[in-house]
Amino acid sequence: MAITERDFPKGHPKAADYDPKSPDAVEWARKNIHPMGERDFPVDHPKALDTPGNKNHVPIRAGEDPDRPELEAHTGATEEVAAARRAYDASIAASAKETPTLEDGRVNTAKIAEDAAVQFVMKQGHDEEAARKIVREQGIDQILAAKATLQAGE
Amino acid sequence: MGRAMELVAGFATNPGATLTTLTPSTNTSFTVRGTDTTKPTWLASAFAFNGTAGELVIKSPRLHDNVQGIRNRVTAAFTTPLISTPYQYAFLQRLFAQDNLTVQLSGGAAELDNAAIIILYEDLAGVAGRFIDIPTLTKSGLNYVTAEVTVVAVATGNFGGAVAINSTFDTLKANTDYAIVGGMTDTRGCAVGITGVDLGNLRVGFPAEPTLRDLTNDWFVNLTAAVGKPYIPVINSANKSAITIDVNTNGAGGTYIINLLLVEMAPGAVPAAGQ
Repeated sequence: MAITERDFPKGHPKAADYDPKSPDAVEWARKNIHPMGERDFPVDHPKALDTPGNKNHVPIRAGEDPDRPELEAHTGATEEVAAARRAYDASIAASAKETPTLEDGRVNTAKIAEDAAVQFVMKQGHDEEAARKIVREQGIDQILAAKATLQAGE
Repeated sequence: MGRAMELVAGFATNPGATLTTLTPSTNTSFTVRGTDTTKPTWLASAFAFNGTAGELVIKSPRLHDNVQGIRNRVTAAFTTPLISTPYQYAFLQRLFAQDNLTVQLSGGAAELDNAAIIILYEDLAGVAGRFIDIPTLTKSGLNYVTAEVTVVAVATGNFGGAVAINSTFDTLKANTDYAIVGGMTDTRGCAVGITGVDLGNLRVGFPAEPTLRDLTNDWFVNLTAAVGKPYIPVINSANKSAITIDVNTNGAGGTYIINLLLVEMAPGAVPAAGQ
């Protein structure tokens, strides 16, 4: 007799047509009988420990793509690119200047502004003496405003 | 009243497993500045940037103990607040005038490791920073605007690469007050510093951690909310060429794109320094 609406799924022990040796019953038992107790994830779930091919053994580290641990953490850069970036950073760090500070630990912001203005004027083709003279005459604010305006499109 | 905030950073050279007393960035000191002792001074936050995991120790006989004091594990390459994380209410450790804090760091045996602390002064003679509270920001804030600058850090462990806030884009309105809500960095380092005459030329700042942008972008608002005291810095655009941003990082240096999140304030809403 054909069953139009089942009372229990195929293979369920309470189903009217239950045969413990049938493939359906074996599969149902595999999915639903857990002698070790309650499972953390259902059978065949990608994170279940007994699912073939799961990646639970792969460590999850901050910023690292677990599937591509060879890439640099956080940036995803290849080793070659990361090395090139480090080399670039090292090269420009050599020319960077420490922040000038006064004896009492306060930052010498006036010197920073003046140096920035002088550097900008020197980039326009003046020597340092001429640049300092121009900065004195024009004022730091005006020079830096011009610098920011010119750099805005870069 | 001379309210002030100061971020002090330092570095340890090849500390390895040895707790090494930090060398403060040039001309700065981990000694609490001399203040009127009736006005409190607070340790607001501390963070470290280690290439290799280590320990950050802050101690003094005037604090809980001078043995281990405030000792925290520093995980590698993650500059996150280790005490008083300003996500919620934060207890403030009281500091004492002219107390010489011992700040030590362990880490890698072949690298510079950096750490920073933030000290809040409720009344620092000779310094008058402009700071507001959250109700003032809410009431008188008008518009968000960001200031993006590029800082090329030095590789010595000191603060470096200082540039003016208008060094890349000069869009601030003339003679206008701006509250600094916080900021973001695209590159990891120890600390981003902001300095200006409105802040008493003392450096304020936040962790240079690109993965905590939600925290750092509202850093000063969060800090103010966490400590219950007005510590949102306010600058005036008239001083823009002398408002500078710099970075403290390890021996790798780096190029940092820093975005400061500012709020334009209504004219006259923020008193001048010292008032």
